[in-house]
Amino acid sequence: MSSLIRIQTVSILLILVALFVPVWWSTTQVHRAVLPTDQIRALAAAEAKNVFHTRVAVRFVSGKGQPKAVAESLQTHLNNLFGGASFHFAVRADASTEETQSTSGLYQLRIDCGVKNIQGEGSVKLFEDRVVSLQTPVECADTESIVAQAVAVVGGLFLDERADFARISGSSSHNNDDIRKVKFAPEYQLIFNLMNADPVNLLVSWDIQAAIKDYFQNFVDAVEKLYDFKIKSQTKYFTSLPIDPEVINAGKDGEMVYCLRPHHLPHFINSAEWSFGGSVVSTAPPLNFVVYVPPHAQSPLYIMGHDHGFLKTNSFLIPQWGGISIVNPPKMAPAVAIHENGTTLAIRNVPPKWTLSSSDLSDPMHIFIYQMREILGVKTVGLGSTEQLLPGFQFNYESSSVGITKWELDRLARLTTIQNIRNAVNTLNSLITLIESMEDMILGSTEHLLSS
Amino acid sequence: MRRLVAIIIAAWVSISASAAQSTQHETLHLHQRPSGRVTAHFAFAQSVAQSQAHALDDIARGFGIDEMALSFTQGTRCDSIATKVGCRPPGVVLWAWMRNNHSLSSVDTRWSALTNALAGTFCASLNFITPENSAEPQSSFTHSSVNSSLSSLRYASLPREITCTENLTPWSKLLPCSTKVNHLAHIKDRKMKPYCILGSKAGIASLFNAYAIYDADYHSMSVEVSRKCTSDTECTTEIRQDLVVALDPVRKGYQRNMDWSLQFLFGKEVAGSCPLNEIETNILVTLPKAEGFEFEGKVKPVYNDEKNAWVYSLELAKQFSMGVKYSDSKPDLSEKSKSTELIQIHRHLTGYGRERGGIKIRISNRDTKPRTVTLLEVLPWFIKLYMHTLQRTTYHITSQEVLSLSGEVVNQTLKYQPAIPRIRPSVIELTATLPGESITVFTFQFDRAFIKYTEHPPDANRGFDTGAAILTVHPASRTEKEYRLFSDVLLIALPTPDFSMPYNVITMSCTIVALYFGTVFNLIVKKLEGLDDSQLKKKWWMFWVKERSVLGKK
Repeated sequence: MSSLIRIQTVSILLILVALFVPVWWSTTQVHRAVLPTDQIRALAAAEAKNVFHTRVAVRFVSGKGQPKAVAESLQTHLNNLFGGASFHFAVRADASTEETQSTSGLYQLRIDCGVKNIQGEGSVKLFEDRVVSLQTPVECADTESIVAQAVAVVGGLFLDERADFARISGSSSHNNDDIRKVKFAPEYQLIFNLMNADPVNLLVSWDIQAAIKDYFQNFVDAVEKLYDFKIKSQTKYFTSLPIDPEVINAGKDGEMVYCLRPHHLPHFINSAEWSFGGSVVSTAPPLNFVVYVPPHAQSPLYIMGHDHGFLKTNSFLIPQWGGISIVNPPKMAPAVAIHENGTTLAIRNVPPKWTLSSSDLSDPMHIFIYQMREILGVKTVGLGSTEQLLPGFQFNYESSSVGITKWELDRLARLTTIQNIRNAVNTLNSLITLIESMEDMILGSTEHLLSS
Repeated sequence: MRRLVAIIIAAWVSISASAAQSTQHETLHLHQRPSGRVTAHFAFAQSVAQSQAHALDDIARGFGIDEMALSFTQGTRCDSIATKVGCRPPGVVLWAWMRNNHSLSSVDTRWSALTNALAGTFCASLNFITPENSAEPQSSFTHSSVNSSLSSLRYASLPREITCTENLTPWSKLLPCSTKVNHLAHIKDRKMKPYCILGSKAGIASLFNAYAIYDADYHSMSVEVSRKCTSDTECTTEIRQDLVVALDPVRKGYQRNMDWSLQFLFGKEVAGSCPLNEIETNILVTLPKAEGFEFEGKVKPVYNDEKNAWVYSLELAKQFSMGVKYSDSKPDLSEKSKSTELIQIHRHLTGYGRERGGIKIRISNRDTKPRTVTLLEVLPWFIKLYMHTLQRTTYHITSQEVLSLSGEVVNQTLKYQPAIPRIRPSVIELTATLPGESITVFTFQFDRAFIKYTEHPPDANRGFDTGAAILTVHPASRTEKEYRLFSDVLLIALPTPDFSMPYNVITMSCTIVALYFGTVFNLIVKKLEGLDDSQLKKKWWMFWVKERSVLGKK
């Protein structure tokens, strides 16, 4: 072959390669939409700057004193104390006769100056609906010491929360409280289950609707703006335990008492036979509360604590799932039912019936409310740090009639917000990391998502 | 039946349950025919109150269902006299009345969500019900309690769906008295805990034995759900579950006779009555002979004239078993076993080959007076109907002479929805009056479509099953109720392509390309040089080289 022909052949081949390789490259490229990666990465840094704007209204009960000066000074001191992290306070002064409504994020501090209690010191009382009252022996004109005490009170209420936020936003270590809490969802299915282990010898029924209305409905209404609850009930029969309780000869007359030790409790729920699935139609996560009535052969059934004493409440909580309360049945005689069968009377055996009325259910219901608080992650709002700063003061807390105070509700809302932000940022970041690691994956068009 | 039950409850002296409880009731009916076959019909009825959690109640409420019926059937040898719920065709049949303005989704969206939810609840592949095989019948399911202006009806059937224990287990979990058996008496001795695959601790459901039920000639498991609302917020859901099993003691035993007992048929005893039942649980036994038999077992039944059956009542916490022994226990396999229903329907395919065919539907009316019936046919889209070939012929039932129709009998209404390929099936609803003592034959022709290569099922030459035709018999007078008959299921073989062709094409083209490429590549790349004769030394096997004189040498 002459070299001219060779040169021609090779050059034509090279020209073809140079023309068609870019065409092949561009047509076989994986379609990847553009993602706002930088913005997402910047979210994590911006998280630390999340600040709750909290308002405090200061009021002097007796009308003496200088509320405006106290308010300004209190605001300066509080913002110095928190240093702009997590909380920013805006303090205003209210006239003594004005009644302020309790709204979320607005807290009232009532100062009663010049009052001494028996020991000669002051007292602090935490009311249910976002009011804290400070009764101090200091004179009303002494603005500085009043402000110092007020800072101790108001700051102490929010310091725990700041520590919580720092823990959540920081490392990913979990303590027991985090594991106990169920993942946040705007809607939950609450299912109240009555487990009747031996209906042949005792048929149990309950007036659950009245019990929910009497005890639980107020709690549900109180947390209404955070969660929606769909409440249902069901009764399951022939539910026997997969474990055998221990028999102890305790009590008078050496009667047999059955007990469950702590290591039995994880196996209490017979998940193969007892179906706690929740609804097939809805995607809301289910929370189950169980009232278990043991059979006569295994009653009375108690739960033993770690200290070898029987638990007073006879209940336990399963983290992220729900709670169980054991109610022991009374001994009842077999019953008969008589009915007319034409002209004769026919007698047949029926199981004796035991109905749990609303008042019988009051103990389990109160336990369920407490367990509900644990599962939702409600933390008590206390004045622990204040107690150290104001020695000698008396501290009183008003408890709530519905199961959750407004302070706790606000704290729960803030905690949930921070946690959801953290989860969202984590999820987005890990998604971006995943996408960047898989370079061959097709990313569809995101236009309709970015515009929303 | 419900009123009788209510009267019995009212006459009781016992503690009554509160209004918000759910109630339940169950009955077992064992009916033996002269041929020896025993049909066992387990009937369970429950009513679920407003706030109670029950899977079917959730489904009914979530999708706005007024009424729903779902049945899983296997076998065609159903005895229509022995089964009170009627014989169902093989496979799955589902129909539902759904409210038109429930939530924001349309009826079609909710229909597909319903089939998927039921598929999950019963572990069955009901998700194969798509708009491609769903129909909206207009005049077949005219139920009196559902307002058809407020609700829409959807119907679908899957004739090829198989039922097994996997479906029976979640079905029996919906019964309140049903959990796995776990005898409390042996609680101290853990090793002795007996274990059953499914079943319940008490009630007639404790007889469930998967080996016996799925060995039967015919078994059908059905669920019917209906919601009754007294006001907008107060609604109760009534659930009826029926299991019909046709067992054959003649086939099962070595003696080949008609004697049977519950232990023989099911392998178990009834573990007492379910404590949740307010009314006593009865076991009814209907026998083909009026005498010449005796009952085995500790308890003897009482004959009830009204129901024409012997009645046992179950006691609480007492094991129950019974049996029947005949003095002459040879089965009677004569004509008496055959069905003597007044109206019967048979359907079969006509024609030959894979290109076209015909369907012939024969409806016989043994009654002396004329009856109005509606025939519903839902045929898949690949059966291309020619409606102009629809013909009706009417014969007299015994003399076979052709009757000419006159008077009111001539009135016929035909509602036809033509199929759109791969989108919807063809639906025919034919309302006609059958003259007394006649056989009416409907025939029509169709072409078989050539469907896409990927649409064929795994065993393509078996063909496709077509759902049963439903014959709705309208009541002749006020006291009667309308009832439904299901016809046979047809197996239609479509023309199949040669499934090995893609392989053949690939193989041949690759071979050709390889041969071509190899040859052309060799020609282009290799430089052919002739060999100098002087360099070639002819070996003994090189027969193609001519002997040449090399430098004059030979």
